[in-house]
Amino acid sequence: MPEQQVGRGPLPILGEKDTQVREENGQKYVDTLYHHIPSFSFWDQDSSVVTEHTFDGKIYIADFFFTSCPTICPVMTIQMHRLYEDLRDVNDVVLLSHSIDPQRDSVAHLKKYAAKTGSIDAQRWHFVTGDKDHIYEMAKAYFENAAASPDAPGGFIHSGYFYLVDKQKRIRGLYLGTDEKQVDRLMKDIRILRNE
Amino acid sequence: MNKKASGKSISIHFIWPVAALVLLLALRGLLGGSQAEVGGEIYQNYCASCHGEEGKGFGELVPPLAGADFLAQNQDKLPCIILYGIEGPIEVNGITYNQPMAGLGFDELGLARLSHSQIQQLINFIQNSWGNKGAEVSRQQVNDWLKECSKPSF
Repeated sequence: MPEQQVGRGPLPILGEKDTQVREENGQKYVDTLYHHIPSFSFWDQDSSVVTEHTFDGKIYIADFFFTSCPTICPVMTIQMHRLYEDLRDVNDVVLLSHSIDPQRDSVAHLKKYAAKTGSIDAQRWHFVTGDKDHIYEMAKAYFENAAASPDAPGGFIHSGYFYLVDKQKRIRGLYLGTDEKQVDRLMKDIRILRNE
Repeated sequence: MNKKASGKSISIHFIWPVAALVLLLALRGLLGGSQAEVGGEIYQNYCASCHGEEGKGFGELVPPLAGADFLAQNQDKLPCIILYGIEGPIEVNGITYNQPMAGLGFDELGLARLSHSQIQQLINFIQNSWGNKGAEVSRQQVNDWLKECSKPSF
């Protein structure tokens, strides 16, 4: 992925667009419908229910991981933690890490993982688990390819992407969470998005 | 005429010490310096993203390598851990870590990523960085220790 410059134009709105014709006072208007993250419901490490409304009025960064992952996940967690520290004084940007291994990653397990990561405030960084099919269905909404795979290290395949989601639940960027430079770019894009 | 000749002889006098120094530096690079350089390069490529540039580890997820008692106590296990990874709890400086680490020896297709000699150089780099002062590991030791392990299931 080519390096993108600071101060470039507005962030793209990713995903397929659709149009809808609306009639108002006899006038026809064409609305653009952007791809957005649909409703969801999970539990976080504090046993709190986390839904799309948890992120109302907030920008968030989502990723997909599992705690027993032996390869890229520790790097993703380390880079997410960099974001967590960078956003310490920002109250409208939060993090959402989905476990794709809900069988092993219970709420208690995620709580332990968050504690090992540092003293994580669940309001600012939700580690969530829930119904397996629901998680995988949500992954698709982020264009994430997550699946159980006996041949993969740790038993699951997934990408290392971080997804930047705006206050209208639209995906505005994806960044390889294993690449420090791309996470640097994400930090800059968060600032661009906050100034929109 | 005379002046020119004497100028020439002065420059020749200067060349020998400079040449000797260049030769010395080149030899040092070939013999001593390169091992640590290769080891450091491998560390940057495969280890630093989790264990950190300074070998400090991360939280209680990734154990430190700098000042880690585990290294000295388990020197003979290091080649196997690097090549095949490790799973299950280990104690480092009194803290229990239980995060699986994938082996670095093979890529997704099962092709060799690190040679035995590179594993040796990586171990010697780690054992002599960030204040660590571990005993030098030889190629023969690495070969012998690697006979003790096999690829785990994950």
